[in-house]
Amino acid sequence: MKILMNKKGQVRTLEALLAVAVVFAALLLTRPIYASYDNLGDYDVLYTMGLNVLVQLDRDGDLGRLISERNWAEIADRLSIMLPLGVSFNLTVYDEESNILNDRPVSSGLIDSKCVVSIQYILVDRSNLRFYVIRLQLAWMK
Amino acid sequence: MPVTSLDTLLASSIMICLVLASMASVFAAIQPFLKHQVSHHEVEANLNLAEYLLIEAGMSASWGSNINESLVIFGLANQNSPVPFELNIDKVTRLNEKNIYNLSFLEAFNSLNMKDKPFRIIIKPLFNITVNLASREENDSAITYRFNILAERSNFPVKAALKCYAVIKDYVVSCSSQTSSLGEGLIEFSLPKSLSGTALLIVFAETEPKMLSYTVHRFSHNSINPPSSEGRYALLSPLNYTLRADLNSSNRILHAMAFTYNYVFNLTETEGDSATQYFIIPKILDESIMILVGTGLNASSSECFAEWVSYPQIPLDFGLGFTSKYQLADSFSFRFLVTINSAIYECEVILWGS
Repeated sequence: MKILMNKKGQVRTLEALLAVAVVFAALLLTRPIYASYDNLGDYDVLYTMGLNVLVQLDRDGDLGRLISERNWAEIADRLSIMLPLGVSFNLTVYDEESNILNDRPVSSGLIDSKCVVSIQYILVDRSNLRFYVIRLQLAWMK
Repeated sequence: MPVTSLDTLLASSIMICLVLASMASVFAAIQPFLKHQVSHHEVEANLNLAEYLLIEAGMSASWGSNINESLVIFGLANQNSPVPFELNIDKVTRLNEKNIYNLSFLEAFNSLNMKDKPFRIIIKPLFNITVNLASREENDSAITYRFNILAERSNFPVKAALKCYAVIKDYVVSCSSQTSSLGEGLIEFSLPKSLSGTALLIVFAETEPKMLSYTVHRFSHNSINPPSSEGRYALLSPLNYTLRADLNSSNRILHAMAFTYNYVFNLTETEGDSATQYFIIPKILDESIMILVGTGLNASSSECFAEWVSYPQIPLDFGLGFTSKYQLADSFSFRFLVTINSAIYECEVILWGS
Protein backbone atom coordinates (compact mmCIF):
# COMPACT_ATOMS: atom_id res chain seq x y z
CA MET A 1 0.00 0.00 0.00
CA LYS A 2 2.81 2.34 0.96
CA ILE A 3 4.69 1.63 -2.26
CA LEU A 4 1.52 2.33 -4.31
CA MET A 5 1.05 5.75 -2.62
CA ASN A 6 4.68 6.65 -3.38
CA LYS A 7 4.09 5.78 -7.04
CA LYS A 8 1.07 8.18 -7.18
CA GLY A 9 3.30 10.99 -5.91
CA GLN A 10 5.94 10.19 -8.48
CA VAL A 11 3.35 10.30 -11.29
CA ARG A 12 2.16 13.75 -10.17
CA THR A 13 5.72 15.06 -10.12
CA LEU A 14 6.22 13.56 -13.55
CA GLU A 15 3.01 15.26 -14.74
CA ALA A 16 4.25 18.60 -13.46
CA LEU A 17 7.61 18.17 -15.21
CA LEU A 18 5.81 17.18 -18.41
CA ALA A 19 3.65 20.29 -18.18
CA VAL A 20 6.81 22.41 -17.74
CA ALA A 21 8.25 20.80 -20.85
CA VAL A 22 5.05 21.45 -22.84
CA VAL A 23 4.88 25.13 -21.85
CA PHE A 24 8.54 25.77 -22.62
CA ALA A 25 8.28 23.92 -25.92
CA ALA A 26 5.31 26.13 -26.83
CA LEU A 27 7.32 29.23 -25.94
CA LEU A 28 10.23 28.02 -28.05
CA LEU A 29 7.92 27.33 -30.98
CA THR A 30 6.39 30.81 -30.90
CA ARG A 31 9.84 32.48 -31.00
CA PRO A 32 10.28 32.22 -34.83
CA ILE A 33 6.87 33.84 -35.34
CA TYR A 34 7.92 36.72 -33.12
CA ALA A 35 11.24 36.99 -34.94
CA SER A 36 9.51 37.18 -38.31
CA TYR A 37 7.66 40.29 -37.14
CA ASP A 38 10.85 41.78 -35.78
CA ASN A 39 12.01 43.41 -39.04
CA LEU A 40 8.79 44.89 -40.39
CA GLY A 41 10.21 48.41 -40.10
CA ASP A 42 13.29 47.38 -42.11
CA TYR A 43 11.07 45.90 -44.83
CA ASP A 44 9.19 49.18 -45.22
CA VAL A 45 12.38 51.22 -45.33
CA LEU A 46 14.10 48.90 -47.82
CA TYR A 47 11.00 48.70 -50.02
CA THR A 48 10.64 52.48 -50.19
CA MET A 49 14.35 52.87 -50.84
CA GLY A 50 14.28 50.34 -53.69
CA LEU A 51 11.23 51.88 -55.33
CA ASN A 52 12.76 55.34 -55.01
CA VAL A 53 15.99 54.14 -56.67
CA LEU A 54 14.10 52.47 -59.53
CA VAL A 55 12.05 55.63 -60.14
CA GLN A 56 15.24 57.70 -60.32
CA LEU A 57 16.96 55.12 -62.53
CA ASP A 58 13.99 55.14 -64.90
CA ARG A 59 13.94 58.95 -65.17
CA ASP A 60 14.00 60.12 -68.81
CA GLY A 61 13.68 56.49 -69.97
CA ASP A 62 17.28 55.66 -69.04
CA LEU A 63 16.52 52.25 -67.55
CA GLY A 64 14.52 51.07 -70.58
CA ARG A 65 17.31 52.21 -72.90
CA LEU A 66 19.98 50.40 -70.86
CA ILE A 67 17.91 47.19 -70.86
CA SER A 68 17.40 47.43 -74.64
CA GLU A 69 21.16 47.83 -75.03
CA ARG A 70 21.69 44.87 -72.63
CA ASN A 71 24.09 47.11 -70.73
CA TRP A 72 23.96 45.17 -67.45
CA ALA A 73 27.30 46.49 -66.17
CA GLU A 74 26.08 50.08 -66.44
CA ILE A 75 22.87 49.25 -64.59
CA ALA A 76 24.88 47.57 -61.81
CA ASP A 77 27.23 50.58 -61.59
CA ARG A 78 24.33 53.00 -61.32
CA LEU A 79 22.60 50.92 -58.67
CA SER A 80 25.75 50.69 -56.57
CA ILE A 81 26.18 54.47 -56.49
CA MET A 82 22.48 55.12 -55.88
CA LEU A 83 21.99 52.66 -53.05
CA PRO A 84 23.58 53.38 -49.69
CA LEU A 85 26.66 51.44 -48.66
CA GLY A 86 25.53 48.49 -46.59
CA VAL A 87 22.65 47.49 -48.86
CA SER A 88 23.22 44.60 -51.23
CA PHE A 89 21.10 44.18 -54.36
CA ASN A 90 20.16 41.70 -57.05
CA LEU A 91 18.26 42.81 -60.13
CA THR A 92 16.47 40.53 -62.57
CA VAL A 93 14.80 41.68 -65.79
CA TYR A 94 11.95 39.68 -67.35
CA ASP A 95 10.31 40.17 -70.75
CA GLU A 96 6.59 39.91 -71.59
CA GLU A 97 6.75 36.10 -71.48
CA SER A 98 8.52 36.02 -68.11
CA ASN A 99 11.85 35.01 -69.63
CA ILE A 100 14.91 36.27 -67.78
CA LEU A 101 16.77 38.74 -69.98
CA ASN A 102 19.95 39.41 -68.03
CA ASP A 103 22.37 36.68 -69.03
CA ARG A 104 24.65 37.56 -66.10
CA PRO A 105 23.85 38.65 -62.55
CA VAL A 106 23.21 42.32 -61.95
CA SER A 107 24.13 42.32 -58.29
CA SER A 108 26.53 43.51 -55.64
CA GLY A 109 27.28 39.98 -54.45
CA LEU A 110 25.42 37.43 -52.41
CA ILE A 111 22.25 38.44 -50.67
CA ASP A 112 22.55 36.62 -47.38
CA SER A 113 20.17 38.10 -44.87
CA LYS A 114 16.98 37.27 -43.01
CA CYS A 115 15.41 40.44 -44.33
CA VAL A 116 15.28 40.39 -48.15
CA VAL A 117 12.83 42.72 -49.84
CA SER A 118 11.65 42.16 -53.38
CA ILE A 119 10.37 45.10 -55.40
CA GLN A 120 8.55 44.56 -58.65
CA TYR A 121 8.61 47.41 -61.18
CA ILE A 122 6.87 47.44 -64.53
CA LEU A 123 8.58 49.36 -67.29
CA VAL A 124 7.87 50.24 -70.91
CA ASP A 125 10.83 51.23 -73.05
CA ARG A 126 9.79 54.41 -74.81
CA SER A 127 12.02 53.87 -77.84
CA ASN A 128 10.66 50.47 -78.97
CA LEU A 129 7.55 50.17 -76.73
CA ARG A 130 8.77 46.91 -75.20
CA PHE A 131 7.43 45.81 -71.86
CA TYR A 132 9.70 44.66 -69.05
CA VAL A 133 9.17 43.47 -65.50
CA ILE A 134 12.02 44.30 -63.15
CA ARG A 135 12.54 42.57 -59.84
CA LEU A 136 14.94 44.26 -57.46
CA GLN A 137 15.91 42.38 -54.32
CA LEU A 138 17.48 44.34 -51.49
CA ALA A 139 18.98 43.30 -48.17
CA TRP A 140 21.09 44.82 -45.46
CA MET A 141 24.63 43.46 -45.59
CA LYS A 142 25.72 41.51 -42.52
CA MET B 1 2.80 13.90 7.35
CA PRO B 2 2.14 11.02 4.97
CA VAL B 3 4.33 10.70 1.91
CA THR B 4 1.31 11.19 -0.39
CA SER B 5 0.65 14.61 1.08
CA LEU B 6 4.27 15.56 0.64
CA ASP B 7 4.19 14.43 -2.99
CA THR B 8 0.96 16.34 -3.61
CA LEU B 9 2.39 19.41 -1.95
CA LEU B 10 5.51 19.14 -4.10
CA ALA B 11 3.49 18.62 -7.30
CA SER B 12 1.17 21.54 -6.45
CA SER B 13 4.14 23.80 -5.73
CA ILE B 14 5.70 22.88 -9.05
CA MET B 15 2.38 23.54 -10.82
CA ILE B 16 2.02 26.96 -9.14
CA CYS B 17 5.62 27.86 -10.00
CA LEU B 18 5.00 26.66 -13.51
CA VAL B 19 1.90 28.82 -13.94
CA LEU B 20 3.68 31.86 -12.54
CA ALA B 21 6.77 31.22 -14.69
CA SER B 22 4.69 30.71 -17.82
CA MET B 23 2.73 33.90 -17.14
CA ALA B 24 5.97 35.82 -16.71
CA SER B 25 7.48 34.23 -19.83
CA VAL B 26 4.43 34.89 -21.97
CA PHE B 27 4.34 38.48 -20.78
CA ALA B 28 8.07 38.87 -21.51
CA ALA B 29 7.62 37.35 -24.96
CA ILE B 30 4.50 39.26 -25.95
CA GLN B 31 5.27 42.65 -24.46
CA PRO B 32 8.04 43.61 -26.95
CA PHE B 33 5.94 42.13 -29.76
CA LEU B 34 3.01 44.39 -28.87
CA LYS B 35 5.38 47.32 -28.50
CA HIS B 36 6.90 46.46 -31.86
CA GLN B 37 3.48 46.46 -33.49
CA VAL B 38 3.13 50.06 -32.37
CA SER B 39 6.65 50.96 -33.50
CA HIS B 40 6.10 49.26 -36.88
CA HIS B 41 3.11 51.49 -37.48
CA GLU B 42 5.15 54.40 -36.23
CA VAL B 43 7.88 53.64 -38.80
CA GLU B 44 5.27 53.44 -41.56
CA ALA B 45 3.61 56.70 -40.48
CA ASN B 46 6.93 58.54 -40.27
CA LEU B 47 8.01 57.13 -43.64
CA ASN B 48 4.80 58.40 -45.21
CA LEU B 49 5.34 61.80 -43.67
CA ALA B 50 8.93 61.95 -44.95
CA GLU B 51 7.69 61.04 -48.45
CA TYR B 52 4.96 63.66 -48.17
CA LEU B 53 7.56 66.39 -47.60
CA LEU B 54 9.30 65.42 -50.84
CA ILE B 55 6.38 64.67 -53.16
CA GLU B 56 4.00 67.50 -52.28
CA ALA B 57 4.43 71.02 -53.63
CA GLY B 58 2.92 72.66 -50.56
CA MET B 59 0.73 75.73 -50.49
CA SER B 60 1.09 78.11 -52.14
CA ALA B 61 2.74 75.94 -54.73
CA SER B 62 5.20 78.66 -55.72
CA TRP B 63 6.31 79.63 -52.22
CA GLY B 64 9.91 78.94 -53.22
CA SER B 65 10.35 81.41 -56.06
CA ASN B 66 7.93 84.05 -54.79
CA ILE B 67 9.00 85.39 -51.40
CA ASN B 68 5.85 87.50 -51.11
CA GLU B 69 3.63 84.42 -51.06
CA SER B 70 3.14 83.10 -47.56
CA LEU B 71 3.82 79.49 -46.78
CA VAL B 72 0.64 77.74 -45.64
CA ILE B 73 1.57 74.07 -46.13
CA PHE B 74 5.14 72.85 -46.34
CA GLY B 75 6.24 70.76 -49.34
CA LEU B 76 9.38 70.78 -51.47
CA ALA B 77 8.29 69.22 -54.76
CA ASN B 78 7.95 70.95 -58.09
CA GLN B 79 4.42 72.00 -58.96
CA ASN B 80 2.72 69.55 -61.40
CA SER B 81 5.82 67.37 -61.59
CA PRO B 82 5.10 64.19 -63.61
CA VAL B 83 7.63 62.16 -61.62
CA PRO B 84 7.90 61.84 -57.84
CA PHE B 85 10.81 63.17 -55.81
CA GLU B 86 11.51 66.05 -58.19
CA LEU B 87 12.24 69.01 -55.93
CA ASN B 88 11.89 72.67 -56.76
CA ILE B 89 15.24 74.47 -57.05
CA ASP B 90 14.03 77.59 -55.21
CA LYS B 91 12.24 75.76 -52.40
CA VAL B 92 15.43 73.81 -51.72
CA THR B 93 17.58 76.94 -51.97
CA ARG B 94 15.41 78.73 -49.40
CA LEU B 95 16.18 75.99 -46.87
CA ASN B 96 19.83 77.07 -46.81
CA GLU B 97 20.46 79.45 -43.93
CA LYS B 98 23.16 81.28 -45.91
CA ASN B 99 20.61 82.48 -48.44
CA ILE B 100 19.19 85.91 -47.67
CA TYR B 101 15.68 84.68 -48.55
CA ASN B 102 15.99 81.66 -46.25
CA LEU B 103 12.95 80.12 -44.61
CA SER B 104 13.09 79.88 -40.84
CA PHE B 105 12.56 76.48 -39.26
CA LEU B 106 9.67 77.89 -37.23
CA GLU B 107 7.82 78.87 -40.44
CA ALA B 108 8.36 75.42 -41.91
CA PHE B 109 7.41 73.68 -38.66
CA ASN B 110 4.20 75.69 -38.26
CA SER B 111 3.23 75.12 -41.89
CA LEU B 112 3.53 71.35 -41.44
CA ASN B 113 0.63 71.59 -38.95
CA MET B 114 2.02 68.77 -36.82
CA LYS B 115 2.97 70.19 -33.48
CA ASP B 116 4.64 67.03 -32.20
CA LYS B 117 6.79 66.37 -35.26
CA PRO B 118 10.04 68.33 -35.44
CA PHE B 119 12.09 67.41 -38.47
CA ARG B 120 15.42 67.84 -40.15
CA ILE B 121 16.23 67.72 -43.87
CA ILE B 122 19.76 67.15 -45.19
CA ILE B 123 20.40 67.38 -48.94
CA LYS B 124 23.85 66.72 -50.34
CA PRO B 125 25.58 65.30 -53.44
CA LEU B 126 25.95 61.51 -53.68
CA PHE B 127 29.69 61.67 -53.03
CA ASN B 128 32.38 64.09 -51.85
CA ILE B 129 35.36 65.69 -53.54
CA THR B 130 38.50 66.91 -51.79
CA VAL B 131 41.11 69.19 -53.40
CA ASN B 132 44.74 69.58 -52.30
CA LEU B 133 47.52 71.58 -53.89
CA ALA B 134 50.21 69.17 -55.15
CA SER B 135 52.69 71.59 -56.73
CA ARG B 136 53.14 75.14 -58.00
CA GLU B 137 55.60 76.15 -60.73
CA GLU B 138 56.29 79.71 -61.67
CA ASN B 139 57.77 81.08 -64.92
CA ASP B 140 58.00 84.60 -66.36
CA SER B 141 54.41 84.95 -67.46
CA ALA B 142 52.32 82.33 -65.62
CA ILE B 143 52.05 80.11 -62.61
CA THR B 144 51.21 76.44 -63.18
CA TYR B 145 49.22 74.67 -60.48
CA ARG B 146 48.72 70.95 -59.96
CA PHE B 147 45.96 69.80 -57.67
CA ASN B 148 45.23 66.34 -56.34
CA ILE B 149 41.54 65.47 -56.46
CA LEU B 150 40.01 62.79 -54.28
CA ALA B 151 36.49 61.53 -54.93
CA GLU B 152 35.00 59.33 -52.23
CA ARG B 153 31.76 58.17 -50.75
CA SER B 154 31.81 57.28 -47.05
CA ASN B 155 35.58 56.79 -47.35
CA PHE B 156 35.19 54.45 -50.34
CA PRO B 157 36.83 55.64 -53.59
CA VAL B 158 34.66 56.76 -56.49
CA LYS B 159 35.70 56.67 -60.13
CA ALA B 160 34.52 59.85 -61.82
CA ALA B 161 35.09 62.15 -64.79
CA LEU B 162 36.36 65.58 -63.74
CA LYS B 163 35.66 68.98 -65.26
CA CYS B 164 37.49 71.87 -63.63
CA TYR B 165 37.47 75.64 -64.03
CA ALA B 166 39.97 78.08 -62.54
CA VAL B 167 38.69 81.64 -62.26
CA ILE B 168 40.39 84.90 -61.40
CA LYS B 169 38.68 88.20 -62.22
CA ASP B 170 37.31 87.63 -65.76
CA TYR B 171 39.95 85.05 -66.70
CA VAL B 172 38.66 81.46 -66.91
CA VAL B 173 40.65 78.36 -67.76
CA SER B 174 39.12 74.90 -67.94
CA CYS B 175 40.59 71.41 -67.85
CA SER B 176 39.32 67.83 -67.75
CA SER B 177 40.61 64.71 -66.08
CA GLN B 178 39.32 61.67 -64.22
CA THR B 179 39.79 59.88 -60.95
CA SER B 180 41.15 56.34 -60.91
CA SER B 181 39.46 53.37 -59.28
CA LEU B 182 41.23 54.54 -56.10
CA GLY B 183 39.28 57.80 -56.36
CA GLU B 184 42.43 59.85 -57.05
CA GLY B 185 42.98 62.28 -59.90
CA LEU B 186 45.32 65.09 -60.88
CA ILE B 187 44.59 68.32 -62.70
CA GLU B 188 46.91 70.97 -64.05
CA PHE B 189 46.31 74.54 -65.23
CA SER B 190 48.11 77.87 -65.53
CA LEU B 191 47.03 81.37 -64.53
CA PRO B 192 48.72 84.53 -65.88
CA LYS B 193 50.96 86.57 -63.60
CA SER B 194 49.32 89.75 -64.84
CA LEU B 195 46.53 89.02 -62.33
CA SER B 196 46.85 88.60 -58.59
CA GLY B 197 44.57 87.95 -55.65
CA THR B 198 41.96 85.36 -54.77
CA ALA B 199 41.28 82.70 -57.41
CA LEU B 200 38.69 79.93 -57.38
CA LEU B 201 39.07 76.36 -58.53
CA ILE B 202 35.68 74.82 -59.35
CA VAL B 203 35.71 71.04 -59.66
CA PHE B 204 32.76 69.02 -61.00
CA ALA B 205 32.94 65.23 -60.81
CA GLU B 206 30.46 62.97 -62.62
CA THR B 207 30.24 59.24 -61.97
CA GLU B 208 27.17 58.47 -64.04
CA PRO B 209 24.81 60.74 -65.98
CA LYS B 210 22.91 63.00 -63.57
CA MET B 211 25.05 61.86 -60.63
CA LEU B 212 27.64 64.46 -59.86
CA SER B 213 29.29 66.34 -57.09
CA TYR B 214 31.30 69.53 -56.84
CA THR B 215 33.69 71.49 -54.71
CA VAL B 216 35.07 75.01 -54.88
CA HIS B 217 38.60 75.67 -53.63
CA ARG B 218 39.71 79.22 -52.82
CA PHE B 219 43.42 79.95 -53.24
CA SER B 220 45.80 82.87 -53.48
CA HIS B 221 47.34 83.52 -56.89
CA ASN B 222 50.49 85.59 -57.39
CA SER B 223 50.05 87.27 -54.02
CA ILE B 224 51.60 87.10 -50.57
CA ASN B 225 48.21 87.65 -48.97
CA PRO B 226 46.02 84.69 -48.06
CA PRO B 227 42.83 84.22 -50.10
CA SER B 228 39.95 86.42 -48.98
CA SER B 229 37.49 84.71 -46.67
CA GLU B 230 34.08 83.67 -47.92
CA GLY B 231 31.53 86.48 -47.81
CA ARG B 232 34.09 89.21 -47.07
CA TYR B 233 33.15 91.26 -50.13
CA ALA B 234 29.61 90.12 -50.91
CA LEU B 235 26.95 87.67 -49.86
CA LEU B 236 25.49 85.90 -52.90
CA SER B 237 21.88 84.65 -52.80
CA PRO B 238 20.26 83.01 -55.83
CA LEU B 239 16.49 82.75 -56.15
CA ASN B 240 14.04 82.57 -59.03
CA TYR B 241 16.91 82.60 -61.54
CA THR B 242 18.17 85.92 -60.20
CA LEU B 243 21.43 86.30 -58.31
CA ARG B 244 21.40 88.90 -55.57
CA ALA B 245 24.73 90.20 -54.29
CA ASP B 246 24.68 92.08 -50.98
CA LEU B 247 27.92 94.03 -50.89
CA ASN B 248 29.90 94.21 -47.67
CA SER B 249 32.25 96.94 -48.86
CA SER B 250 32.47 99.64 -51.50
CA ASN B 251 34.00 97.13 -53.95
CA ARG B 252 31.45 96.04 -56.52
CA ILE B 253 31.18 92.81 -58.44
CA LEU B 254 32.50 93.49 -61.94
CA HIS B 255 32.06 90.05 -63.53
CA ALA B 256 29.47 87.41 -62.75
CA MET B 257 29.53 83.94 -64.31
CA ALA B 258 27.60 80.67 -64.13
CA PHE B 259 29.45 77.34 -64.38
CA THR B 260 27.97 73.91 -64.97
CA TYR B 261 29.63 70.60 -65.86
CA ASN B 262 29.48 71.42 -69.58
CA TYR B 263 28.92 75.15 -69.92
CA VAL B 264 30.10 78.60 -68.83
CA PHE B 265 27.93 81.71 -69.15
CA ASN B 266 28.39 85.37 -68.27
CA LEU B 267 25.58 86.83 -66.18
CA THR B 268 23.93 90.10 -67.10
CA GLU B 269 23.46 92.73 -64.41
CA THR B 270 19.92 94.07 -64.29
CA GLU B 271 19.51 96.54 -61.48
CA GLY B 272 21.00 97.48 -58.17
CA ASP B 273 22.12 100.24 -55.86
CA SER B 274 25.23 101.02 -53.83
CA ALA B 275 24.67 98.03 -51.53
CA THR B 276 23.02 95.44 -53.77
CA GLN B 277 23.51 94.07 -57.29
CA TYR B 278 21.22 91.75 -59.26
CA PHE B 279 22.15 89.41 -62.12
CA ILE B 280 19.97 87.24 -64.37
CA ILE B 281 20.78 83.51 -64.19
CA PRO B 282 20.21 81.63 -67.47
CA LYS B 283 18.01 78.51 -67.41
CA ILE B 284 20.57 75.92 -68.46
CA LEU B 285 19.35 72.43 -69.35
CA ASP B 286 22.60 70.80 -68.23
CA GLU B 287 22.22 67.89 -65.78
CA SER B 288 24.40 69.69 -63.28
CA ILE B 289 24.43 71.94 -60.29
CA MET B 290 25.24 75.58 -61.15
CA ILE B 291 28.13 77.45 -59.54
CA LEU B 292 27.64 81.22 -59.65
CA VAL B 293 30.78 83.31 -59.28
CA GLY B 294 31.12 87.04 -58.76
CA THR B 295 34.57 88.63 -59.11
CA GLY B 296 35.92 92.15 -58.75
CA LEU B 297 38.87 94.26 -57.80
CA ASN B 298 39.75 95.49 -54.32
CA ALA B 299 40.23 99.25 -54.86
CA SER B 300 42.74 99.67 -52.05
CA SER B 301 45.02 96.66 -52.67
CA SER B 302 44.38 96.28 -56.46
CA GLU B 303 43.97 92.55 -55.90
CA CYS B 304 41.15 90.47 -57.34
CA PHE B 305 38.48 89.01 -55.11
CA ALA B 306 35.96 86.25 -55.81
CA GLU B 307 32.73 85.14 -54.20
CA TRP B 308 30.67 82.10 -55.15
CA VAL B 309 27.45 80.28 -54.41
CA SER B 310 25.83 77.12 -55.77
CA TYR B 311 22.33 77.02 -57.25
CA PRO B 312 20.52 75.04 -55.84
CA GLN B 313 22.31 76.02 -52.62
CA ILE B 314 23.42 72.50 -51.68
CA PRO B 315 24.69 70.94 -49.39
CA LEU B 316 22.23 72.06 -46.77
CA ASP B 317 21.12 71.01 -43.33
CA PHE B 318 17.73 72.37 -42.31
CA GLY B 319 15.76 71.85 -39.12
CA LEU B 320 16.40 70.64 -35.62
CA GLY B 321 19.72 69.11 -34.60
CA PHE B 322 18.61 65.81 -32.98
CA THR B 323 21.96 65.57 -31.29
CA SER B 324 21.15 64.46 -27.76
CA LYS B 325 21.17 60.75 -26.92
CA TYR B 326 17.46 60.81 -26.15
CA GLN B 327 16.58 62.45 -29.45
CA LEU B 328 18.86 60.13 -31.42
CA ALA B 329 17.22 57.09 -29.81
CA ASP B 330 13.74 58.35 -30.57
CA SER B 331 14.03 59.57 -34.13
CA PHE B 332 13.48 58.05 -37.56
CA SER B 333 15.84 58.63 -40.45
CA PHE B 334 14.89 57.94 -44.07
CA ARG B 335 17.09 58.28 -47.12
CA PHE B 336 15.77 59.23 -50.54
CA LEU B 337 17.21 60.13 -53.90
CA VAL B 338 15.78 63.36 -55.22
CA THR B 339 16.14 65.22 -58.51
CA ILE B 340 16.72 68.95 -58.69
CA ASN B 341 17.10 70.39 -62.20
CA SER B 342 17.83 66.94 -63.68
CA ALA B 343 20.68 66.15 -61.28
CA ILE B 344 20.33 63.52 -58.55
CA TYR B 345 21.10 64.24 -54.89
CA GLU B 346 20.84 62.35 -51.64
CA CYS B 347 18.20 63.57 -49.22
CA GLU B 348 17.89 62.43 -45.63
CA VAL B 349 14.72 63.22 -43.70
CA ILE B 350 14.91 62.82 -39.93
CA LEU B 351 11.70 62.91 -37.92
CA TRP B 352 11.27 62.87 -34.19
CA GLY B 353 9.39 59.75 -33.11
CA SER B 354 7.15 60.98 -30.34
